[in-house]
Amino acid sequence: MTAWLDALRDHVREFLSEPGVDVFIGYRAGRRGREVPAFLTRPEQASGLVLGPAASGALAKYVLEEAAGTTGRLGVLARGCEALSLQRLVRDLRVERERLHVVGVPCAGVADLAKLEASLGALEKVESCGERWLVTAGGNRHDVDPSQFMEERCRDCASPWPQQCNISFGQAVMSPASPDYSTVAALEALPADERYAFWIRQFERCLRCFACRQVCPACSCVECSLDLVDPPWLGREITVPAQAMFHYTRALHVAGRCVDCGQCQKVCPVGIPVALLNRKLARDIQELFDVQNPFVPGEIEPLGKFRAEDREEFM
Amino acid sequence: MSVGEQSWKPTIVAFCCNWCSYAGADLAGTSRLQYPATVRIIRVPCSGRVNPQFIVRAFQRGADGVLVAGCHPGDCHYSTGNYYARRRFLLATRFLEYLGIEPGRLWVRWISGSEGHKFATVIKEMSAALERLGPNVKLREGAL
Amino acid sequence: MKRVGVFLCWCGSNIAATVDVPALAEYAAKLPNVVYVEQNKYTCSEPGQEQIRKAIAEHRLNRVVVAACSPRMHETTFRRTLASASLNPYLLEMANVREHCSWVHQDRAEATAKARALVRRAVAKVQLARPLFQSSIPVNRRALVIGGGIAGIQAALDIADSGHKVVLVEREPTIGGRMAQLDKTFPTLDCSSCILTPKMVDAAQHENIQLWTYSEVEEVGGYVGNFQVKIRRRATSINASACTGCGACWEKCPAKTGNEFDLGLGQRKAIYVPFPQAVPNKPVIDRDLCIYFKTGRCRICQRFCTAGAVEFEQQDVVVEETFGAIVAATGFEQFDHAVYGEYGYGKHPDVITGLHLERLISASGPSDGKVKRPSNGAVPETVVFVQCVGSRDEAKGVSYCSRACCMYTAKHAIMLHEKIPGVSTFVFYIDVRAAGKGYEEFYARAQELGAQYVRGRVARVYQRGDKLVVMGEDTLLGAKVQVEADLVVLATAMTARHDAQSLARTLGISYDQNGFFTEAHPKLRPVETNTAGIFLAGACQGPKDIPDTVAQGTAAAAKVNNLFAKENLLAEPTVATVNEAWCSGCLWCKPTCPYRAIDSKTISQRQVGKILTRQVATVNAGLCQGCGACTVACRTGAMNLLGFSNEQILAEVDAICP
Repeated sequence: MTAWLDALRDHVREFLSEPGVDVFIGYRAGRRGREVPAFLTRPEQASGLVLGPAASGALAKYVLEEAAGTTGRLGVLARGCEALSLQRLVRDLRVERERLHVVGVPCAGVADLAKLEASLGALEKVESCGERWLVTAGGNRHDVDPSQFMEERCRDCASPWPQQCNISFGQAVMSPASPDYSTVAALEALPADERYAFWIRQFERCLRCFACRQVCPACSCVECSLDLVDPPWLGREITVPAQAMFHYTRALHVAGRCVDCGQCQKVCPVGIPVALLNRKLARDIQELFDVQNPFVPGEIEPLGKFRAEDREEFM
Repeated sequence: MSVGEQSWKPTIVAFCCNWCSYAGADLAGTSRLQYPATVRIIRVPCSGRVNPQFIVRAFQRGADGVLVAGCHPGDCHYSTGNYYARRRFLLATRFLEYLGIEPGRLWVRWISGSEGHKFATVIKEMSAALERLGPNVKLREGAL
Repeated sequence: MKRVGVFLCWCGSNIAATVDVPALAEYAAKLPNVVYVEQNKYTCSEPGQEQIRKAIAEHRLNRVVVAACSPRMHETTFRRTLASASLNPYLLEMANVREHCSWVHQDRAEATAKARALVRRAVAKVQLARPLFQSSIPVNRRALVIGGGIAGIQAALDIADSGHKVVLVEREPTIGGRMAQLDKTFPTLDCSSCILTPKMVDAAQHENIQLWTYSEVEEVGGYVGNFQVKIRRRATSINASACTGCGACWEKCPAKTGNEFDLGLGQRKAIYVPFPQAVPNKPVIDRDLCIYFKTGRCRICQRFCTAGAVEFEQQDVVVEETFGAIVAATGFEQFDHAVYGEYGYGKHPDVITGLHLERLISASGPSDGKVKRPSNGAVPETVVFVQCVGSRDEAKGVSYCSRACCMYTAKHAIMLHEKIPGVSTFVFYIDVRAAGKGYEEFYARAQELGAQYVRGRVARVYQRGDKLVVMGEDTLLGAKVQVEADLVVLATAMTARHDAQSLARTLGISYDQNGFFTEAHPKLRPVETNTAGIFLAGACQGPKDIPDTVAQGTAAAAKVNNLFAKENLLAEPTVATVNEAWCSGCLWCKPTCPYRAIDSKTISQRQVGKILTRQVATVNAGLCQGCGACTVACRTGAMNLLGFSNEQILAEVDAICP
């Protein structure tokens, strides 16, 4: 049990008692050891809040649904990546910052539940205990090394501590100096044809389920160009080039706006390394346009501005 | 198709801004400068109008190369359009390479209304470079 | 139902010699929705155009493709043809098979194949063309001129003389600007006031000019023909219609400070007119200095004013006015040469700037035209001029040449030689730039009168006894030079106003890295800005001398008059447009617009029984110039460009590829 969880619950209870508050979005215990998004509207529900390694679903985008047609304040629980996602939504003018009550919490990585289940059996509970995780699965209790079972997106997290919150709980976590682009560099080292073959293998599997878009905090358009029949940006035909066009478009649409939450890749049912596209663009934005950390939403997106002395390496 | 075959000539889709590069191509015409019949121009008001999606679309539909041509930095008819284009295509050029497209398939050039010669030269050079690369099959509909 | 007519021009043999036009015609006839194809020897000729008109009527064409020369050549021609056949002129598309095909290729088969692709593209695009209508913007024929220096005065007079109303706004209590501070003007040595003051009076008395001094522009909204401008008219504390300008008030006023007009060389009171020929010649009260405003006591001026014109209770008034055009003529500032500590400005009172010297030479200046050393009042015997203080010095100052300094220094040298017999003058220079009518001769005259030009920079100025020692280098001789001087005059750079950028943002115009306002085109549109209806005059656009400034003032006025010659402006309809249902209101389109044409607005939407209000982007068609940068910033494609729509360009790509 995390030491500050009671304080967090107290805070949420108080928040929900305030006038003009609509909802608090956090996690509650679900079935099979899961911790699932919870939408609390009454103070007494605050005691049901949980926050463990199994609480791994994204919350930020629920804000849009909750905010539509209402005027009250919305509380949201935010880890580092979620806080950035909320900033993204605010910068994209999808929700007013004043309406949000962002409650920051530290994060040391969330559990890859499928992986845990595959190696330990049906999950009942996942708890963090100091540096370790206590996992109840298949009727037994296991003491687990988190680094073995952490979600991939959390391994090289560049922003574990939530910024720009209304209030935070727990101990601040240091961020690495720069995002990690080693996976991008590894792919870049391949010859062009191999890289092409790699991506075609990925795109071939795409089901065009658009889960990567649905979960993405930078993909919040009321209408997505990729859903439109006219103009036919994508076309209805399911061909590999059309799949490639989809991924190219999606990545460019979030270029300069991606917060590297990694949810896109996590939710992909066929395992396309979607974040590898985002990170490539982010790395180039950082390098080409001298952006310190491309994953932190700025006043103007890097593609919405320029410098007269920008490079011209394509010449 | 191999490079040695004489019958094959590349197809270049060129997006030319109305004020500079399209005018430069016009000047190449009025000056009767000869260049390969590989290029087909789509007129846009400004290089800032060119969406990077148009590039992949052209490759999908069978272009062997794509040229985006605009006014020189500082000369944009709309003052800043080419600066945005430059950022977009700096990124798109690298991104296409990342997806495995050969570096020489997408060219971005500044060609002014007085640079008929430059337009002709760019088309000659680009055609020669694409002939060396051979036909593009990557991202092309029907080729996969 | 789309009914496309394709007209293929032979252009004599210009096209037909290289492109197989009959084969092209056969091909075009098979393209989708093409119902009529015709070949002409010269489509642009009157018979050729008549054929188009006839075919439109006979074959009920609703789209037209002309495959001929460049649209830059004849698009307007054929648009008119369509209009004369009662077809919307924007339902035309041209295929450029001459400049882009027959003239640049020789192989007939290759050229014909390419021409097929070009016609295919045009046919594909024209299918998606929509009728577009030029919108008409009424023009409010009233101009705002910001800045009452010679540039603004000239522009205001020229506009007013054409019969249009002008409001001339000046933030100082008087118009006249920098030129009013000058004694003589090069290269003719006209007395500056003698040529300026009549213009100042003309401007004040002109029936079409309203002079608003002590006023500043605060907000600008709207667009060409209809600018809404908020102007703050600062309280002068004087009832201008009652005041006779007798001067009793400022004679009696006990509060003194350095006179800005004389750059602190003379004094003024809290109630003051900046200089005797000021227009309007009515005082203002400097409330920061006035004893009454500071302590609530004094009122001496009010007591001595027989006209009862002093009104302490006056308040600033912000007025909102509508204008059709705006001229920015806000002038320049002097470079802050404090960075050249080695020249001793501020430390040695005898190190002054060129503008100080103007005030010292001026008969109406603080020394009544007698050039005296500020330190001891003695007549200087040796005067050193230092050129390019700030100019052409990227390390400490600005990279550009300030253009006027070489000539005004020559003027100063000439005038000193005329005023002080036996004076020695030295001019340290990098290059002498005397390009202008009569300028080189003027510079030669300075040398003939005895001015000694030394090519090189000054390293240091220091005091020895009551003299200033100027250490420099003569780079032509390669020798160190040392001059004992009584007076050192620095030719400081002309820089943009410190608040020019903020005015630029208010006006929505761009500025360069030095803060000067940017013209729409450096050669062809030198007084226009990228914002339609806003023009530039004078040194706010870049350093310039009086002749150039006046010429630009007149040019800006000509542009305004041009605009005012029309009752309505016709705006090109190929502008950006927003599909509100698709727009998320993220407004990432906004920063890419160079014309500030994009704003947000609130719309109401019914959704699941609830009325939702949300923000969407909106385009001001009067401001939009149709560049389309915003369309790419829009991920959804909610922002689209009429005439170059996403649908059209995608269709063109599809059609033009093999």
